[in-house]
Amino acid sequence: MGERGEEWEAVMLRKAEEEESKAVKKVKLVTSDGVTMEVEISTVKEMETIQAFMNATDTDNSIIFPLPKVSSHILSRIMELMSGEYDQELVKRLSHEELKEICMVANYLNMKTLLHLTASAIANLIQNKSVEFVRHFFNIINDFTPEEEVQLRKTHEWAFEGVDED
Amino acid sequence: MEPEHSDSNLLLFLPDDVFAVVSRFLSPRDVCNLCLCCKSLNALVASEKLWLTQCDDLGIVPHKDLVEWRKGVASYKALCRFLVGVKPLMGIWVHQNPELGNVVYVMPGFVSVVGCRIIPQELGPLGIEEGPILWASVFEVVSDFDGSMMFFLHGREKGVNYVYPGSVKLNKSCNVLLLEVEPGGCSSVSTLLQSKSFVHHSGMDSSSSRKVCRSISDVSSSQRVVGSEGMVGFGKLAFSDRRKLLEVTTSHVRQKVPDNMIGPLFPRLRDDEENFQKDLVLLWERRSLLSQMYKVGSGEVDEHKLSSQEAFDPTQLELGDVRARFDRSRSISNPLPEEDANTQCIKRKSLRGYFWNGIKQMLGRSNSMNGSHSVSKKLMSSGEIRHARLQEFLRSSDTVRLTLKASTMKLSSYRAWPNMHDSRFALYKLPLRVPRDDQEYAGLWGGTFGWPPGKPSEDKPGKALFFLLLSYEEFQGQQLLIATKILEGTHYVLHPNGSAMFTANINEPSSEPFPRDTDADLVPVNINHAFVGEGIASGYGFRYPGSKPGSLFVFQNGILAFMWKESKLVLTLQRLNLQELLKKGERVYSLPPVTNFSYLTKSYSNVFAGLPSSSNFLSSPRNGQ
Repeated sequence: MGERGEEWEAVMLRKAEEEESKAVKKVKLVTSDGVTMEVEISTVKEMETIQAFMNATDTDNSIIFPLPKVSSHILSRIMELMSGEYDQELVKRLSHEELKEICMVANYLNMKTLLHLTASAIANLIQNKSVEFVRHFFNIINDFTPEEEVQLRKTHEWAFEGVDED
Repeated sequence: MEPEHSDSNLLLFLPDDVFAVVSRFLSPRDVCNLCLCCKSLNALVASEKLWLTQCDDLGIVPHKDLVEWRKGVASYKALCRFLVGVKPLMGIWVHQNPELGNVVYVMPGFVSVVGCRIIPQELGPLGIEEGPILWASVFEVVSDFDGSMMFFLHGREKGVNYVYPGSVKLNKSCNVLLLEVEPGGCSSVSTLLQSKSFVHHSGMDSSSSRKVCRSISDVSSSQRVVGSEGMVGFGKLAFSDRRKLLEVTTSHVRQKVPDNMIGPLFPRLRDDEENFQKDLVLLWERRSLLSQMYKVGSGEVDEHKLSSQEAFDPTQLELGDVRARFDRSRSISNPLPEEDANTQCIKRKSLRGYFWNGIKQMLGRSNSMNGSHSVSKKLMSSGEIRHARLQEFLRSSDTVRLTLKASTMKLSSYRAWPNMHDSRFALYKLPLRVPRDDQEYAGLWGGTFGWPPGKPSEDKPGKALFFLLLSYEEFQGQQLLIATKILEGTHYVLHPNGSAMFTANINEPSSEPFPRDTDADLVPVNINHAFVGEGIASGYGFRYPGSKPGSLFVFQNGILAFMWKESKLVLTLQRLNLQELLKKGERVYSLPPVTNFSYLTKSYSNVFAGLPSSSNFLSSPRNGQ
């Protein structure tokens, strides 16, 4: 009888521990510059790559997930965007370098909303601009010979014609 | 936009898959811009996957078909070029004449788009869905290997089917489609022809041709009516001159379509897998033949153009392979013996050379008979101005070609129907509105008079099929639903083309009961809505119909029915998927080329199906092939 009671107690204890760990369970993300960031499990839900890993390992312990390609700066920017519910205004404040990095991380971690947001922000920089503008804006050096460029413009005429005729 | 300048890093060092995501937000034009920036960006955006996405996003051709079409062009980029080009053509085009309806629906063909005219007709024995619907081809625009457009007008003369190759000039926001004759061709072709016609001239001592030349120079020195405006456009010419030019040009550029190559123009529905695959084989052969005809017809030398144009294309390796396949199928499918094909080719080219003199003589003769050049030059009659314009038009180049020109015109309209010129060889676009929450009945509907809907009753076969375009217009603060008649299958037209068969006030419910309570299958009908409206009625002559009160009923199964209050006459309508109907439809012969494009003679009867016999059918999924 006594033995059984102990057993019972042990089961209860384990259950309580489990529940406790579920409630406060955190994921530790280790960035490329060695910073460990503890994030809520709900945050990780959007990071499908990590989520898939967690589902596969099915461990009770909190997980440490290394992100060798993500700096702590970028990761904190991502957290800001997530907690700001992906506000367009926040995206506008990012530098182009940040935008690119975040877009790449979003792709790597399979964060659909963030990827969509940042990719469209990058596309916005290119949309409806002239070749000259894009070159100037992105500091691109034109490495075509004049002949090559003339030829290229000719073969791409189709995309530009019929807009302001008549 | 921030003044900040970014590193080229931002674009250049994006991984392919990320760039693919970015590119989904870009238009083909934006992507082409990137091509021109620098070599590395050019390489980055050259991916097939990226251009497939671009093709997909245009929404003209379903993904499955894109994969099939890709085999006929150099790359998805070339395919995208074609799709961007033909996009303004897609949809419903109409003309006022004949009054029974002139509906041309432009839809995807096979690496092409096809203009299909729906014939005014009675409801088939199996109802609208299983009809099959009758149609005739008007024109097609086929993609060349590099994605450029090849235009073919269709027509039938003296029992022979022809195609009439020409060029395409499209404006992206076009609302009018014109058939024109355009001076000149691509420069290389015209120089080629110039030198040929020069040789030809010197070898022929014809006083008449010299006369034409002199009369032309006369005009240029003293009577340049239009010199200040530059070149005279085709549209500025008198109607009879335009018609003559079109007739002469079509009779010279026409090429006979071998009987085994008349159809199909698009594959049957995919659920008919076996026939779908059979159709693809035929379509491949047909396309090879057309592209061959086009090159012969327009004298284009594509070998050089193609190789230089694709110089930056990474699919170049693949190119040779596909081309070889192209050529192989061409030589197999070529219905003409090799020798014949060659002679035809030479004939065509030289024909082009003196064809021009032919036109000049033909048109010049009637004018010179008037002796217009000897009369006083101070006062010019309208006839002289007309003559001078024609001379100026002819003077502008040594070659002409048939052209499909899509342009943008200011058009007034009444109740969603444009007011049309009756002397232009034109088709007018009817914007097809997509249903929205506040305009849920917008779009194309078809039906007949009588209840129950769908199938013709056994005792009363041969109900006239109606096509109606439903759109919304605000009138005195009320939302009016307008049902514009665009096709009527009666023997003799009841109401003018484009008139509103009914209007209904969406803001005013009707309390009128619907007299029948079951449908064709004796299932009880459930009415979702009823609106107060007005239906068309006889008025002051044919041109000005009147209206009488009625109600529009919306049934639970999506059927619409308009009932005239007094007569209890009912017009029942269902939504149409024209593409699907045409794929299941039956093709009939086309008219001669110019009238096939635009039928300008006033007519109240059915001019498109002169012989409503089964011998008239070209291809039918039901008859088999």
